[in-house]
Amino acid sequence: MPEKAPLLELRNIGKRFGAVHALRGIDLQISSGEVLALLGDNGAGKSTLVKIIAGAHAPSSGEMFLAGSKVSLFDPRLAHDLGIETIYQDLAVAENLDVATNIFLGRERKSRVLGFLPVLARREMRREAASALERLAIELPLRQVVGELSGGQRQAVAIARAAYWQARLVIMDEPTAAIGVGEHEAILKLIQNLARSGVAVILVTHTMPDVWQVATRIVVLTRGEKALEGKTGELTEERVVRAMLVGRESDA
Amino acid sequence: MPNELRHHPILQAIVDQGVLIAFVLLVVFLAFVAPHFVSTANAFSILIDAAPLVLLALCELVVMLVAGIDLAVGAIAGFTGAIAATMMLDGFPWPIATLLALLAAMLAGTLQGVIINYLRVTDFITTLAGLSIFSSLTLIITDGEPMNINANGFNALGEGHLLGVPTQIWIAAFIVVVVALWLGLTASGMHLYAIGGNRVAAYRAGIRVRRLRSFAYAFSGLSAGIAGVILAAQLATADPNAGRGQELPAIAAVVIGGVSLFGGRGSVWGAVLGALILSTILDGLVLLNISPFYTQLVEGVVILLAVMTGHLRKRSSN
Repeated sequence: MPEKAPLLELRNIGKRFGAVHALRGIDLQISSGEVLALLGDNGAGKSTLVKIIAGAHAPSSGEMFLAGSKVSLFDPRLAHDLGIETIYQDLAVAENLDVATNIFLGRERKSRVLGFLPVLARREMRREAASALERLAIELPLRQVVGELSGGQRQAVAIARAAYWQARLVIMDEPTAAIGVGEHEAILKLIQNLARSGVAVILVTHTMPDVWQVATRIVVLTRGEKALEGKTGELTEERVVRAMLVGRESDA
Repeated sequence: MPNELRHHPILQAIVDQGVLIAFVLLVVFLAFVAPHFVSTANAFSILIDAAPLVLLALCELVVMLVAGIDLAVGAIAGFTGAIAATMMLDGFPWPIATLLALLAAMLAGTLQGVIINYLRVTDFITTLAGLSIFSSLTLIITDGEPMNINANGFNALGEGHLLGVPTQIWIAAFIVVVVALWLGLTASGMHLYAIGGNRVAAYRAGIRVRRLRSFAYAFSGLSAGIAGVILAAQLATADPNAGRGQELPAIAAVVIGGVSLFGGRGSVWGAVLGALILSTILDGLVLLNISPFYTQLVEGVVILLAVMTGHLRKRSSN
């Protein structure tokens, strides 16, 4: 495989909240098409790290590089513009609006009536939403109000939204937590499709089987430090769980 | 199929059948029992009463879509009439006095919006304070006495006719159409629904939530101001008590019309129908020679009935 700059590289990232070291010396790389599982016990620093990447928190120290160039993300909107999309566990979607409208929310297509009045181009947005869903092999009723969809379908809406906007990096926080057994497989499949289309995916999860099914690489955080990193195929569940509980293997 | 249609901003209107059916039944009922109910004059009389109420209901509709409430709309209406009247008394031409008064109304609404969204005072408290403050300002401006308005052009806004239809009906209808187009066809209109549906999602999608919510209150101020102008023009008088207490029928109208107090649900047609139902009931009570002491009793029962049948409809559709 040819060497190229990873899509996202973190060097020595640290974060303090007052006297608390939430993160210490984190180095991390992720390339396009990869699914990186970010594991760790509660309070290990996963969500802090994810928020730094998503631009919701500024790191206290360290550097971030996106496609080789240094970035300082201090604003979710900026992260957005750089192609970083975060799908939060609470799946924030507007329940009272339909699928197509949610996919385009905040970035609507408009046409001009009488040459100056900007009017929503609903038909165009529906058409494009349909083709975006088709590319990811998602079947959803576009005119259906999202509040009437199942948890898995909502997750699919959120993923389609990120994919449509040509995210380069999608961060998913517990994507299968709120989903029934029947839809679990479909969401995992969707994550794989997303990665196959060239998107880098960071998967934050507690569900071990998911990790071995879709992730290409695993990073374990323990008490704010990177405790273990490796290719999924080279790690056992036992080693990962031990790292989550006791930290770095040399420390144990 | 009905579910898909129900939430489409424009078609929701048509699917608000429950309200429409209630209105039609009410009209048919009154046509049989109330003397002189079926006549052009009476229809105009209902619509004339409904015009300012529709405008105030639009205020509540827009702020309720973003999960807010505006208790100051009646007070701002009275305030606007008073400002227009003093300015005309001071020699300003009526169009300028009217425009400046409407600007003041919009500023009043904007101020409330900014306090609610940027200084984070609850909407209920902020607009309750607004109700107090603008009522008092109206009394101060008018010195507590009705102020006569002599400008014929101004009074024509509440007394004149255009193509045989009273002017204020045209004005209200025009604003209704503008708001319907705004909510149904534009991005910012749709964003009001998004904010009411899920504020966090709207924020994460890049919608400027605080700015748009403030704008909703600015619109509310403006629409209340237009209602105030109509109220003053109808009587050729800025009454110190004009608009007083009108926030309650306005809220009642949108609640009857199926607008959710929790945001994200409601249509212009629902608000208009709600206002028409209230005005028609009022008219019917007068024609049936029922004591005005019963008016609010009937209104209260209607509100409860509307909300309860609304719940039933929602349950049966799920």
